[in-house]
Amino acid sequence: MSAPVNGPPYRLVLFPTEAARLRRWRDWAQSQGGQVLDDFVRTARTVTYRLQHEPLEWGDRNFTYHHLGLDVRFGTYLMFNVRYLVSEADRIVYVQRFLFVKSYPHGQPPDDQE
Amino acid sequence: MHPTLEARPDLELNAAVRAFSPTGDLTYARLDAPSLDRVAEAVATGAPRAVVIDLLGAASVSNAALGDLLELRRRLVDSHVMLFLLAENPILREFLAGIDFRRYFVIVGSRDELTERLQLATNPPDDVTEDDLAAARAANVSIEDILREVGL
Repeated sequence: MSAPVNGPPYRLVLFPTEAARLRRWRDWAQSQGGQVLDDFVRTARTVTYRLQHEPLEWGDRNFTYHHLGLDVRFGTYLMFNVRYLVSEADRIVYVQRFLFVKSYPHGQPPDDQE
Repeated sequence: MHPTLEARPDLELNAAVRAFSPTGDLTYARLDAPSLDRVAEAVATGAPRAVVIDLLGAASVSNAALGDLLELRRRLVDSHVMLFLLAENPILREFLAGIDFRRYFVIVGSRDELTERLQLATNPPDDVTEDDLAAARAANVSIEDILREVGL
């Protein structure tokens, strides 16, 4: 499997649990409006770019699943901590977990207080 | 038990080094060139997951100190320990990022951020199976889709 011609270098794939989590955060950000919503959209777009274009430069490597050929990396931007897996062989980045940045100054989504 | 590194008052780099083990033990040192051996020894002996260099509100770091930091990193690179730089001054953080220190250190800007990152770095991730990956690929939902669903 490889990235599409003329597309981003890496295909970005969300674990289904994380797509659901992102929808909950999106709905919360919409309910807050203003700065929170602006930050949410900016964070989502920036994280998308980083993961599709520079996953090896953005996050810090902290684990390897040798049996799957995946590096586990961890990146942070504004609202999101992102734990993601990089398959260099398949040119795929999997988002394993979104964690909301606890030090974000304008509040926390209600389902991510852990 | 981890060796405890003594604080040294006569340092050119006014930084504290803490080495965090999975069990929460820590070592502590002031960092200067002569203490690098002791830090490296502490890492080798205690097998911590992370070493934190706390720049203690410094607004700048001398070239000699930058050299010391790179030397520390060089000595620890084979240990797979995560190296954190805690730089509360935003100008210093920008400077460190600008000289490409993010290649060698995780740069954090506050103790809260450091605590959060340490917890995440020292907790191993969940198990992943090929079925998990296949399910994720099949779902085929993008972040852009999630924004677009509500017109963002």
